[in-house]
Amino acid sequence: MATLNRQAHVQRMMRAAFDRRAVLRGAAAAGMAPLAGSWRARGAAAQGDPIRVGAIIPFTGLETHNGLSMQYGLEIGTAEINEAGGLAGRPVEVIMEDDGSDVARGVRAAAKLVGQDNVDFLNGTLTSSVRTAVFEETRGTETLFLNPTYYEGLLCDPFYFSTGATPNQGIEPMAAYAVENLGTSFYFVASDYIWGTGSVAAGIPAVEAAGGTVVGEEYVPFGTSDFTAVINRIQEAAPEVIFPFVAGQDGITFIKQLTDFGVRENVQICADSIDELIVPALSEEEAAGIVNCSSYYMMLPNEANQAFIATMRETYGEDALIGSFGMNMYNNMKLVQAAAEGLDEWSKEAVTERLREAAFDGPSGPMTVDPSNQHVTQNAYIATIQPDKSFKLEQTIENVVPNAGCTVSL
Amino acid sequence: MGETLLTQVLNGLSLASILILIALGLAVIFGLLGVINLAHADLFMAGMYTLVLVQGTTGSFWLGVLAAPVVVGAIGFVVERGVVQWLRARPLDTLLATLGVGIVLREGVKLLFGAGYRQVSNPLPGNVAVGPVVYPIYRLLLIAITVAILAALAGWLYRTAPGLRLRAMLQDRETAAAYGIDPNRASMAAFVVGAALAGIAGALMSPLVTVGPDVGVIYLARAFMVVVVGGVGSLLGLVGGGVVIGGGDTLAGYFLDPTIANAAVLVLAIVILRFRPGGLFR
Repeated sequence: MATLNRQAHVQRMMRAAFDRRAVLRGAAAAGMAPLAGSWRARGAAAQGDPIRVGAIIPFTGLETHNGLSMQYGLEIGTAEINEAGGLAGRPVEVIMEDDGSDVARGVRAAAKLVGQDNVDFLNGTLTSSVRTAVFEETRGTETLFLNPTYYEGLLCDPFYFSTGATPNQGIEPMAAYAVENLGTSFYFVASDYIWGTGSVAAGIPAVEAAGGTVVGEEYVPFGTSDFTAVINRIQEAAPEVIFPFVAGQDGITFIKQLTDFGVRENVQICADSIDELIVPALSEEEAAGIVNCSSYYMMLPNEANQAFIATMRETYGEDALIGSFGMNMYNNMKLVQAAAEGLDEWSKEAVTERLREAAFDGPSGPMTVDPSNQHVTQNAYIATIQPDKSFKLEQTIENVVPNAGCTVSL
Repeated sequence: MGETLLTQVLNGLSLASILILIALGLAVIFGLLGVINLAHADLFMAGMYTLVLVQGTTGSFWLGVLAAPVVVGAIGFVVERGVVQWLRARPLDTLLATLGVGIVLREGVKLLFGAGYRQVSNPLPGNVAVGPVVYPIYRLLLIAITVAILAALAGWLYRTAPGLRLRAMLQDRETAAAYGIDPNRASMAAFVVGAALAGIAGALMSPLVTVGPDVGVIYLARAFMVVVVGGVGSLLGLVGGGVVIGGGDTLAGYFLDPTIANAAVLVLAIVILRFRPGGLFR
């Protein structure tokens, strides 16, 4: 049964990738019936055209493994909104585009969603290079754009919102915890692009402010499959903690080779990107002991999260996984729902205005938009990976105010 | 100083053996058939998934390593019979056709196994002392296995009847056919062996790199570089290419930061090809 479910949702994914107009209707037919069945009835009764959401998701390329998780969050959020009567009385329709984890395709997807499909808002993007490019596109057209992915910050615009954590919500708590519990000398290894360099730029002062020292930093190109030289330099520098910002599959290869070279016996790893979606790629020996900071884990005990996980497993199969990106696709939908609450008529300006004050208490814990930079105040969760590859919650830092490194000027 | 030198020599050997392993299948098919097999990366990935499947069901890594060339060789057989043999006279079309085969393999794996990454346990974790240097056992073993595979391949090509037929066909297709060699069968054998080599390379590399449906493609460019720099059509060239690129990479990686080292190796390849367009060992 589990296999069948997996096949069904991979098929859905394929459709999303190849049928470029995969809308929620298609998903409903394939397995969202328990959630989406009721909106069809209400949708028929609702006035006017549907509110269109354009979703930019990496279903192929470097970040393929995150694609389905983002689709889950998006679809469950959409189904809940439609069940509750839609946005300002109008049903919500989703149009998903695959960005292939690639800048050019991401920009094309954004241009198509904004220019041809006339979407009412955008939800999505994963890699920082795609996000930054899409941001330029949406800024020019004043399109409402919600980002789900933790990143280096530095994007501020009246029509741009982010539930993705800023560096001070992931990197700083992680650095503080690591200095206190793991060791004081740090080595940074990062992918050589905006997320990696931006994260190290935030990480160095974070480590130093916490009382640690940085003994090395290093940038590797995309598609690095052999880290021998980097590992040799790490061994020579002999840090106590490695803090990697190595993207996608390269990051997993790095952990595997660090373990193979025996570096892990003396050095701890702390991270902000090794979550429940990455761990299936690692063996017990490779995963155990890694400490990670994230705004969301599947193991969070709060009731809203337990209910969400149950719905997800019922809809997409027992082995369905979701990480912070997928959960923030959901959170983005719920924040828009909160902002549109009580509006008689959908208007981009009114919704944007109210989004600046919006709040939602869901699976990730309480979330409140900070009007100064339009990122969200949220919890940071630090967890250690156990020998059985489960995540154990070590510390919750509540209500961390976002520092995006920029402010929105209205 | 001696310690650093030994470490770098081991790193160079390890990287060279990995590159040779990855490029072997490509070199066999390119060298013997003149077909640039763009599905190579995905045959490599199919080898990884054969290992994942066999290790998952039987618990044995080495059984998976044995199964990979068999399964991927069988895939190669189907690809050669179904696609490549019909395009023999049109090399440019095989380029497109094998690219398409690669996409089918990649998406097929996503359908069967899902789009997420998979775990492979290292069968020989731990390190061993090589003189004053401590080095991962598995990497040392990979060097030995690569040498063994090269020896077996050379034995097959230069010491057996099918190898002789293949070399005859490579020299002159028509004359070989006139002497009763079936070029069709010889080509098929070459493609199946090339695919099987890609499969075993994928399986052997799995403990060291990420295993997922889209990972193969990052190895394709490197494999091509090794084949082209070494010289198409000879095993010696392949070994030379692997040592030059692997050694160059290790040397550059030791002195430079990784991004610049990457570029430096490319520059090295361009310079070599400028002065020896046919490759170093041709």
